[in-house]
Amino acid sequence: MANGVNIKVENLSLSFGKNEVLQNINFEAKAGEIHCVIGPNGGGKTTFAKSLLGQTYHNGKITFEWIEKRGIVGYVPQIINIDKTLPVNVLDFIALCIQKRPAFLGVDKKFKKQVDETLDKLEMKNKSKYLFSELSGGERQRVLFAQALIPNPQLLILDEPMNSVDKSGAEVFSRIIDGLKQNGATVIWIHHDLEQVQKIADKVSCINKTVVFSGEPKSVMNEKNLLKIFSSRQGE
Amino acid sequence: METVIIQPKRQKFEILFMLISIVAIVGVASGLIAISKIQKEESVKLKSYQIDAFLDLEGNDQGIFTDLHAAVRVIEALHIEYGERWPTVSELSTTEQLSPFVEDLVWKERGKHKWTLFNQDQGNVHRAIYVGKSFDENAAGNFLILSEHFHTIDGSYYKGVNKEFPFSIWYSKKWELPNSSNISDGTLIPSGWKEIIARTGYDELKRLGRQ
Repeated sequence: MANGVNIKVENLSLSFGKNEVLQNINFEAKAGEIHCVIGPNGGGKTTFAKSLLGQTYHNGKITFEWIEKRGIVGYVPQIINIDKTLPVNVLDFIALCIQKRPAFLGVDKKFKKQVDETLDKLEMKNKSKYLFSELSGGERQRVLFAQALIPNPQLLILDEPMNSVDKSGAEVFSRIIDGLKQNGATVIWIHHDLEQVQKIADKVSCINKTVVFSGEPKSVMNEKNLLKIFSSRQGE
Repeated sequence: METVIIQPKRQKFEILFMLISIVAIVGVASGLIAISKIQKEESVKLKSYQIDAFLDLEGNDQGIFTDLHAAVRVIEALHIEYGERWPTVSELSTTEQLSPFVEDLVWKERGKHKWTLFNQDQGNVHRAIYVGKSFDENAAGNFLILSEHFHTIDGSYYKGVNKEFPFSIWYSKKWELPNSSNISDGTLIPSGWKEIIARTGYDELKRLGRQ
């Protein structure tokens, strides 16, 4: 079995000033599974993902148990704001994300082949010289996805990557993510499409400041639980 | 298996890094400023027998020097106009009405200098020394213009070594003039005379680092 990671989160809490964003989160994900994170807007899903990346001032314990040695973590952000006049093309952008070498020197030779193949898979190869700011929302999302796949990640954290992607793009994304899963990688996928989650997820956790429910989709994504979270009449 | 605890983001290293960066940038910038200042000071450094017109002269002395600085050009032009003959002091003061030779009110206030011309032309070497002795050393010191240029055999005209400014202007607070037949840099310096150096606009810009 290829490398993957078991993630264990214990009593994760986080506040921005007086605003408590996450409260006593307990969470587990196993290597080789797709663990979807759902929840209402503002429920702390993105903050949770950033905590896993060590980008927040969190309290509590986050443990990564790598099956073999410490592996690569890929991250696809939800949205990226980029200045329209920034002279960075697709290849430059990917170079910025994947290598230490300055991007103006081009993509590192050791990644060149994989970059070409990944862009080809994502149907973006013919736009590799386009300015990043010239791309449509869906195309940007494909590039953001591409950078997370190079080098091959053993943990992939996705923050609603399908938001602006068309149907064919979504299918390519799913196929690639499935391939990673087959190779033993762990996938944490923040998703808003509940129907899709039921199809692809091995486990699902709902976060609304704290973990509302967690388990296999079939057993936890029932009407009662979902209404509790997503109904406009929640709390009544 | 390798276990990694994900540590929360910490600011302390960023703050430390920022502080080190600030200290390094300020240090390097200060060093560069200090080095460039030394270089610029050196570019206008005077020799031991020279003084700075701006820094070392005062009031009346500066006024006389400024007049002389302009007058030497006129003297050069008159020398050509008069058929390679140096204008006399009388011509400068009366005919040409040229300061500081003209004996007017300002002349009186500035020490009533008595000017003397020593003409030392020898063959194709034309050499003139105008000496101004102050009668009131409290008002101003003594001045001397040393001019020298050469004529080639075919008549073409060469200015002195310094083609831009073929004169040197000298100053001494105390009156002690070498033998008039032997006035040169070599005899003026031991007698306590100092060559006055005027910074040009270019020098000044260079000093300020804008050139």
